[in-house]
Amino acid sequence: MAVVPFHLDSALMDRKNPALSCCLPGELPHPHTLSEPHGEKVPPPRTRGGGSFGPPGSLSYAVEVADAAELVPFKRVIWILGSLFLVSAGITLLFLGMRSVMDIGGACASGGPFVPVQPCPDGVPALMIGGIWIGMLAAFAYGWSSLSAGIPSFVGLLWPALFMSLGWNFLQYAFDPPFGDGPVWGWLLPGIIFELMGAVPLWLLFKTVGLTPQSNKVRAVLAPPGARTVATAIRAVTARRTDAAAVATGSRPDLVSELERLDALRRSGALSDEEYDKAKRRLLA
Amino acid sequence: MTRDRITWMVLQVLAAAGGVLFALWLFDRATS
Repeated sequence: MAVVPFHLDSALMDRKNPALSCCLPGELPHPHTLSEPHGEKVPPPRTRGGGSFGPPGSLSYAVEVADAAELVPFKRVIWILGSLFLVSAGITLLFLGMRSVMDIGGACASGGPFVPVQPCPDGVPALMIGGIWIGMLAAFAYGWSSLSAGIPSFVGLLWPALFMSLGWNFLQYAFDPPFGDGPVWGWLLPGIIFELMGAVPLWLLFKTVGLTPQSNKVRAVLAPPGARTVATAIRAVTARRTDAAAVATGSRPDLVSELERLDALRRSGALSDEEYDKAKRRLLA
Repeated sequence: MTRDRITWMVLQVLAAAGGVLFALWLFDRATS
């Protein structure tokens, strides 16, 4: 058995700890409901920004480490980071394209049946249109993949980032136009509107759910050392205690509970899929 | 767990910064 960084046994064997009699077979006690081994209350979870539930060595810490063994699948990690990369690139392309168009007066046209008054800088229309579309699709992909994975997500910052960066262009060019003297009112007004369109949602987001909304339990990219061992150990001890309680009261855990326990063991890695199937068949026979 | 939160934040900030650098490179290449 791997060395675990806290006193798991003493925490689990504490008979006064009500956390261990709280749960169905195979279910872990929730960190919020736990008491410390010495009767101290765990501080309530923070509603914003995730939290650490207990000091190293406590049962709540052990449970949390075990929970962290539930990793975000690698494919999903690539989705999250790749889509964020593309969103960021899309917004930057739009930002740069807008600046290069503003450098030549703020409007351009190319192609089509009309005679362009001011031709666009080479390559800029394609980059801007590509940036808008790729950025938008990637923003949806990022929002979905990050929020459903249970990780701190920057999705709420995308809208403010887009509008405030473009608004910055308007304001900068309004006060310091490439030709003539400022302020250019035709750029100042959209600049203010864009800044407000970005800043107001940003402020509301900050006041309500926090800048990086997430559940309290953040799923990990990498498993902490010993996490799977601890998860298995905690589940096994919890299950054993529930069995003992069932024997003491003369009752037998029902079928659903047994199946749930088996499933928990499979998910923790204590049982392979094959062993799980075998045990399930035996249970249902 | 705080460590997971920090890991995710760092990875995402790196991905976003990578996107910005990529866009700067692409824009420079396409317009010069």
